[in-house]
Amino acid sequence: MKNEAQAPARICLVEDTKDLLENLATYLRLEGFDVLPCENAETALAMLPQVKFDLIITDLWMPGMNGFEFIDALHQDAALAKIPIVVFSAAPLSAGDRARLSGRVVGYLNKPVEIDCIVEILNGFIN
Amino acid sequence: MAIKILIVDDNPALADLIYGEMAAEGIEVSLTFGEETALQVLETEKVDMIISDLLTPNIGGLMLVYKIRTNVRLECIPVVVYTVSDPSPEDAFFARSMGVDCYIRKPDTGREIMRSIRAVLKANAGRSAAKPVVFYDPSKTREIGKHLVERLDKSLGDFQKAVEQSSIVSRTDKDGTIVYVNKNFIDVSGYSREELIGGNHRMLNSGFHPRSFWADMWATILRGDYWRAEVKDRAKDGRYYWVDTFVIPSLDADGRLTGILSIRHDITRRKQAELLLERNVAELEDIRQHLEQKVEARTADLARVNEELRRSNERLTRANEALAAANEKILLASGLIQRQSETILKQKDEQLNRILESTNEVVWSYDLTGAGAHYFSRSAQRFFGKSADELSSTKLFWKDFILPECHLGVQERNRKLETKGYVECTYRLAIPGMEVRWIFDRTRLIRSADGAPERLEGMLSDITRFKNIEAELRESNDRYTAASRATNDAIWDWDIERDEQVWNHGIQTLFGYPDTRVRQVQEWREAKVHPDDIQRITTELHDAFISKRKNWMSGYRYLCSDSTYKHVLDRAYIIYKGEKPVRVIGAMQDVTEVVQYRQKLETMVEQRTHELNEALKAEKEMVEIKSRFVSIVSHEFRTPLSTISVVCGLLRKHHDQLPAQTIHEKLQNIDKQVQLMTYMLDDVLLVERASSAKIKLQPKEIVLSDFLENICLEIENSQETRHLIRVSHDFGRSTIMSDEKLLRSVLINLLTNAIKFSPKARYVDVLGSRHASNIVLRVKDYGIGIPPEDVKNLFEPFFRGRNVSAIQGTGLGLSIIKKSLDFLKGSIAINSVLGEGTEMIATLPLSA
Repeated sequence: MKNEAQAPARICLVEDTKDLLENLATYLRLEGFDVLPCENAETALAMLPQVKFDLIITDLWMPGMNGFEFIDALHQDAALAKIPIVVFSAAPLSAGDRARLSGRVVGYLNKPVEIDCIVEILNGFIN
Repeated sequence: MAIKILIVDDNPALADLIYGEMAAEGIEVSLTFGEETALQVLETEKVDMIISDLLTPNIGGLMLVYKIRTNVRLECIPVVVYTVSDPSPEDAFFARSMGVDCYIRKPDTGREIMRSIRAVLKANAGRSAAKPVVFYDPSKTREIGKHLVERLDKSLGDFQKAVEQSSIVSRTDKDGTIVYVNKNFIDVSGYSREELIGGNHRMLNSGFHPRSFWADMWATILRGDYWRAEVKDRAKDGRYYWVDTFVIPSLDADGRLTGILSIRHDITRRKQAELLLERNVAELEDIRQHLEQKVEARTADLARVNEELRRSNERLTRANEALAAANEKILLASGLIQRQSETILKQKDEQLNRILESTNEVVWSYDLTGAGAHYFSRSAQRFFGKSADELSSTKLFWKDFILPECHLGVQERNRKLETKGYVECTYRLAIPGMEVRWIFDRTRLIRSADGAPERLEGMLSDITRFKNIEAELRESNDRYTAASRATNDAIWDWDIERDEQVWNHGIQTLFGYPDTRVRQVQEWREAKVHPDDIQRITTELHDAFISKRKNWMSGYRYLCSDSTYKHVLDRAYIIYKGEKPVRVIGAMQDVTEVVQYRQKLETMVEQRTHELNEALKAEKEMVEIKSRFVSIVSHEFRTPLSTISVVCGLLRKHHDQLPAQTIHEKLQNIDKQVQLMTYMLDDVLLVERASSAKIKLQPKEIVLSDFLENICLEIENSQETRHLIRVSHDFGRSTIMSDEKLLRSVLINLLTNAIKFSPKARYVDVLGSRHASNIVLRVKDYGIGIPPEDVKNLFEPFFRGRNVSAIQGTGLGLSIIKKSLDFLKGSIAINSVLGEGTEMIATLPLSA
């Protein structure tokens, strides 16, 4: 859903699968989001303080810093800690994983994502 | 010529010597022992020669010579003097003066003496008795007289001195008043000299001697003779002592008594001895008299005994008579007694018969002389079915009924009977109408006093029952033996008290030991039972004993003679005497086969269980793998599916806004994702096929250098990382025979793994080398490495190292590599350092 009256919502997308990252970023841009695609968490952490983001979408299982570590790092920065986070993962989450994430993330997107619903879901999180 | 010689000597030995010599010469010899007796002889006998000792007792030979020479009748007789020692010069002079013809020295031999004597006789041959020899002149007479008086005085002095010293001497006046006593007198009498002198000699009178004793003394000494007697005197202290007493009177010229000299010698000891002797004699006399009295008394006794004997005899005679009378009475009575005895005997006989009748034995007697009668106890009737009379009437008794097969034995017995006198024998008896019986026959041969066979006596017993029992027993034993042989058990019988074990043949057949029946229990238990079983067996037996159980059963191993062990099942029965076990009987059964079969079964069960467990484990693993597969596949498929989903959404909603080029790219992207998923599915299928060995090799010649380089290039291009693959090899144009598809999957997986697990690295190195029989491919990365504990599981399908969670992957890569290399007859090795990198080394044969 397009939000023309406002400035487009700014999303930080962190995904190690390049094809998925690029296609999802393209799609979300076409849907009216301002998207920063990041191939890994380290890049995201470097970019985040520079611009104000409305939402962070992150994969969990990535080479280098993984999603959990990334979320921990975000929570240690008072400014960044306020940005809502959505987990985007293929693997089903264990109870431990959920406990670890509880209170820190606003929602979960399971792969493969239902592309028609994604914009509505994301807007819900942003608002 | 008859010569008569007078010898005067107090020494008989010398006199004998001269006497013997002279007698041999035919000279007549007279012997005198003193000068006084010599003078007496000379008065009566005519002597041709005098031989005299010079020093005879008392006055001596010189005085004799003097008396001879002064006697007219004797003055011509030659005198020979012999002396012990040379005479003193005075004696020699005096002797010559006195006309001594010759000196003979003592001790001269008889021969020398005789020579001297002959010489003297020859010299005096011309002398005539009528012609006196005047051989001294009167002038010399006074001198000679003086010499003689001196000699006499001296001799007398010596004599007196000797008497004084050795004797008890006293002198009295004519009335017996003591005027002198010597010391001995004082000592013996106990009176002092003062008490004695002036006292009458009668003070010593003991009163022992009778008046006549002393009257005799006075009569003797008043005649002028000396009186000698043994006198008992009394000392002052009342003590008596005996003295040999000489009483010598001194008479004046008129023959009147003037004094008395008494010389005494103490003979008390001798007298005491004599008295003792007398007393002894008296005692002997008493004894003799006593004995005589006794003999008399004994004689009287004997007489009395004799008398009694005589009376006793009389009584006997009377008794005999009475006895004879009694005998007669007895004879009369004995008839009655005999009749009574016969009755008793008959009763006894009856009693015996009843006893014999009540037993099954038959007692019999067979007369051999022909004079007596045979005998059968009444039981014979029942035993033989015939009366004693019937049997007695046949010559052979019951011998006709003995079964023929027993005849030999019976004959043998009869032969022995002759020599041994007693025999026992067993045979069978078949009497018509009666069953065949076993008989035990005891027979004794009775001989008469002269040794001739007189009678046969015996006893018959029916031992059929015993025989039957014996047979049954034997049969039972045989059956037992057969049974034990059939079961092949080793049967033992342990006597606990003797600690001995009796075995059957099983000890041999079962265990191979010599068939020695009696053995020590020690040997059975401790030496043969397996060391691991012995403690248990001992405890079990002990427990059985304690709890009084009658049965004990146990299995154990028992040593055989060939040093192997047999498994035995030992079943025993325990017999107690009161509280105490005394005997244990056991049967050992060889259960080795059973035990071995059981062990085999157990092994099989174990093996099967193990196999099942393995299968279960494999199954479990499979389930795990499958669940892992589902989880991984779902994850791995979701990412490409997500991409496809996103691209599809993008194209569907925004395709009019997109340039044609982009649309084309997006469609290609979908193709790529589908291909990725197909590869993954292929991998899964490959692993699945490899696991169930469905792969069929399709070997073909592969040029190694081209193959390697192409794949590396392909991977380098397809992957989206910036890794550079550095290839070096020495293959040249060499080839190998292998399955290209499998080899390709090996290589691709090696390379993609190397890239995937070194995300921050720049290079991956590939090194190929060719060897004599194989080629080696090394793929080295500089990545995260593998934890050592994970290496062993790396080739399991869907296994993923603990440090790769962030890296996408199915966990199939290494599994595919391993399975493929297995099919290609190659191998894989891993060198890895955690955090530094991994080198995978694949080895392939030149021909698969």
